[in-house]
Amino acid sequence: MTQTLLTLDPVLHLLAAAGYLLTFVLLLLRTIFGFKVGKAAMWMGILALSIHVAGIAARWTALGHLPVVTMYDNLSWYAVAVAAIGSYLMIRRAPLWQVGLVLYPSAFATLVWGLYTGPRVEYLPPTFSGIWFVMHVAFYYVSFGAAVAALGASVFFLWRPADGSKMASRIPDLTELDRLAYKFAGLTFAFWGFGMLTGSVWAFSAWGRYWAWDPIETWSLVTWLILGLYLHLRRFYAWKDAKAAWLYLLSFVFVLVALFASSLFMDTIHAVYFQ
Amino acid sequence: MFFGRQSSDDARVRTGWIKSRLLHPRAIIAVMVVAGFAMMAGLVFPQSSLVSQNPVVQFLGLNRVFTMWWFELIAAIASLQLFIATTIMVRRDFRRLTRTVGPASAHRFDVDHPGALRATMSRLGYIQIRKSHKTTRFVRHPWGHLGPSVLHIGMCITVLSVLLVALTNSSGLMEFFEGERPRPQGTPLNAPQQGLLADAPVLPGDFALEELRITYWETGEPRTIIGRYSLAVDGREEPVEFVVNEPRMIDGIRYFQEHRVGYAFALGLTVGDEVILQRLDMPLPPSATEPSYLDTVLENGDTLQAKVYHDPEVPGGAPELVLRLKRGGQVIGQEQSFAQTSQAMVGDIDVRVDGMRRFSTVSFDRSIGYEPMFFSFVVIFIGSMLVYSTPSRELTLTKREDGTIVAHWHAARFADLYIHEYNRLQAAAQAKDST
Repeated sequence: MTQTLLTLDPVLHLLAAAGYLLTFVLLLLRTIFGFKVGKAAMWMGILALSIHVAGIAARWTALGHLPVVTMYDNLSWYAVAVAAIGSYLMIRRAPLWQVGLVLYPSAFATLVWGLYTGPRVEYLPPTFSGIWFVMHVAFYYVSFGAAVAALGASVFFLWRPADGSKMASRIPDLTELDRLAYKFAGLTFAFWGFGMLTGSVWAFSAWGRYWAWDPIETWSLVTWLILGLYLHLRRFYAWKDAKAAWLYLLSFVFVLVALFASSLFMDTIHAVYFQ
Repeated sequence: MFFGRQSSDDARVRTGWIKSRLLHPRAIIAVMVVAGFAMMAGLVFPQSSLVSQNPVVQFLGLNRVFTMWWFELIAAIASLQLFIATTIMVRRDFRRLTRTVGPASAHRFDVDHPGALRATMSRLGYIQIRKSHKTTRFVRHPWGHLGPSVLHIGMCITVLSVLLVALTNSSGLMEFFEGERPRPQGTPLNAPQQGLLADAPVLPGDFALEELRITYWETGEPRTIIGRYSLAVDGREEPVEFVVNEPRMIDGIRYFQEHRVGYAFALGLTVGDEVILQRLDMPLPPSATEPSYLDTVLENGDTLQAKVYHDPEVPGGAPELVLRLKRGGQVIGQEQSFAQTSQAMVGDIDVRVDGMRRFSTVSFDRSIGYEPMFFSFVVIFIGSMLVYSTPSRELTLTKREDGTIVAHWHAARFADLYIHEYNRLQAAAQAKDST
C-alpha cells in the first residue's frame, strides 16, 4: 500500500503540473485572442488543484506524517497554495481572472522544480513536531500564495497592452487590480508575521531559543519590514498604481530570497528541510 | 507659581514636538528602512565573535551587527515610536468606539423609510452603540475600531518581554554520558548566557544521564529522543524524563532535551612517544545507512577524520567508528574501522579505543518573560484579525429640526470596498430596489 501510494504521488504531481500549464494556456488564449474559454480554464484549474491535493494526500498517507521535510514536499505545498488562490479568484472574483496568468505559471514552475528535485522519502526529524511547527510552515505556504496573487495583480501596472487595443479591453479594471494587490499584500504581511511568530514558539521548544538571527530568520524579518513599508506607504502616502507595483515587485524579490535563495545558498539551520 | 506653569507648558510643548517628529510617518518609515539596512549588513558580512581582519568592518562592528550599540539604538528608537504611538492609538480607538456621532461623510442620504433601514441594518449586523435625543449611532463590527490598538499593544508586550528575557537570561547547556557519576550542583554550564539582572548559569542540582532512548522511523532516521536523568536538589533525588521539542519546567528552570545526542569515544592516540587522550563526540547518524562525521584538528596540526555508522535495530546502536588521518590536505594511509578491534594504526598514529558511551545534551534556562512574549503573539494575532477582517462601518442617524432624518455612513478603512453596503442601506432608506 505504502509503495503504491509513493509511486502514485509523483504521477499525480506531474498531472497537476500539466493541468496548471493547460489552465495558463487557456487563460492566455482568452487574453490574447478573446476565446471564450474562461469556464474551461476555471474547471481545469480546479481539476489540477484536486489532483495536486490528492498527490499530497497520497504522500502524507504513505509517510505517516505531514510531508514537509524535503524540497519536493515544500515546493509542492507552495504550489498548492498558489493554485488554490488562483481557483478562488476564478470562482469568487471572476472579473479578476487574469491574475491567474501569473498564478498558474508560478504554480507550474514551482511544482516542476519540486518534481525535478525528486520525490525522495525522508521522515520528520525529532525537532519537527508539534502544532507550532505545523502552523509555522502552513502560514508561510499561505503567505507565499498571497504574495504571488499580489504580484499577479501588480504586474498589470508594470506591463500593459497599448490603450485602445483589443487586449487592453480584456485586462480587468485597474482600480480593482490595485485593490486586490493591496489586500493580498496585506494578507502576505499578516501571514508572514504569524509564520515568524509561530516559528519562534516552535524554535523555543525545539532548540530553547526563540530567535537567533539565523540568515533565514533575518531575511524573513527584512522581508516583513519591506512588506510593512509597502503597506505604510500605501496607507499614509497614498502610493498606488505603477509606483506601488514597483515597490511590491521589490518586496516580492525579498520574498523569493527569504523563502528559497537563502535556504539554498546560505549556511542556515533551515537548509535542513530544503536540500 | 507662574514660573511653574510656564515650565510645565514648555515641557508639554517639547513633548508635543518630540511626539510629532518621532511619530511622523516619514520618521517611522525611515526607522524601518534603517533597521532593514542594518539587518542586511548582518546578512552580507559574516557574523562572528572573532576580530575581523578588515579594520573598517571591525570599527563599525559589521561582523557583530546584532550586538552593536548602534543596532540597539535603532531598536530602542523603534520601540519608543511603538510605545508612544500605542498610547495615542488606544485613546483614539476608544474615542472612536464610544463617540456619540460618527464622522461627517460624503456618503449621506435622507431616510424616508426608517423601518426598512433598521431592518436592513439589523440584517447587515449593525449594532446600536450610542443614542441621544438627536442622533443614534450604529456600527457594524464595533470591535474593529480596537484592532490597531490590540495589535500595537501586542507588539509592545513583545518588546517588553524580549527586554525582560534579555535582562534575566541565565542559560547554558551540558553534555552527559550514560553511566557517568552525577555532575555536582553548581557546575558552570557550557555556552553560558547571562543577562544584566541574572545569576551565572550553573547546574541546578546533581545531574546524571540514566538512559537515552531513541525511537526510529522504518528507514532508521531518528524519530524521537528521550533522555532519562536523575536530578538531585538539596539531597532530594528524583528521576526526570525530557523529550526533544517538549521543554519541561521544574522549580522555575526550563529543561530542554537537545537533539545533539550520539556516541562518545574515548581514544588514546600515540603520536611518536607522546600519548594524547582524545574524546570524539560523534553525532547520531542520520539514518541506518548514512554515517555521521566529525573532523578534529590535533595539536600537531593533523586532522583526524571520523565517521560512525550504527544499527538502529540493535539496542545501544552497536556503533562502528571509522577513522582516517589527513596531513597537509593529503590522506595518510587507509581508513581504519574499529568494529572488530580496539587498537589500530591510523596513518602513522597508533589509535586505541578505550571506551564508548552514548551522550546526550541538555539545556537549562531560568530566564523570565517567555510566557508574556508568547501571549503577546496571540494578542498580535487577534489584533491583526480585527484590523484585517472586521473594518468597522458606521451609520449615524441625525434628526433635523423639521423632523426629517439624515444618515451619514462611514467606513474606517477601505471605504470603496464596502460601497455596495452603503448602496444597500441607501436603497432601503429610500425604498428603492438595491439590486
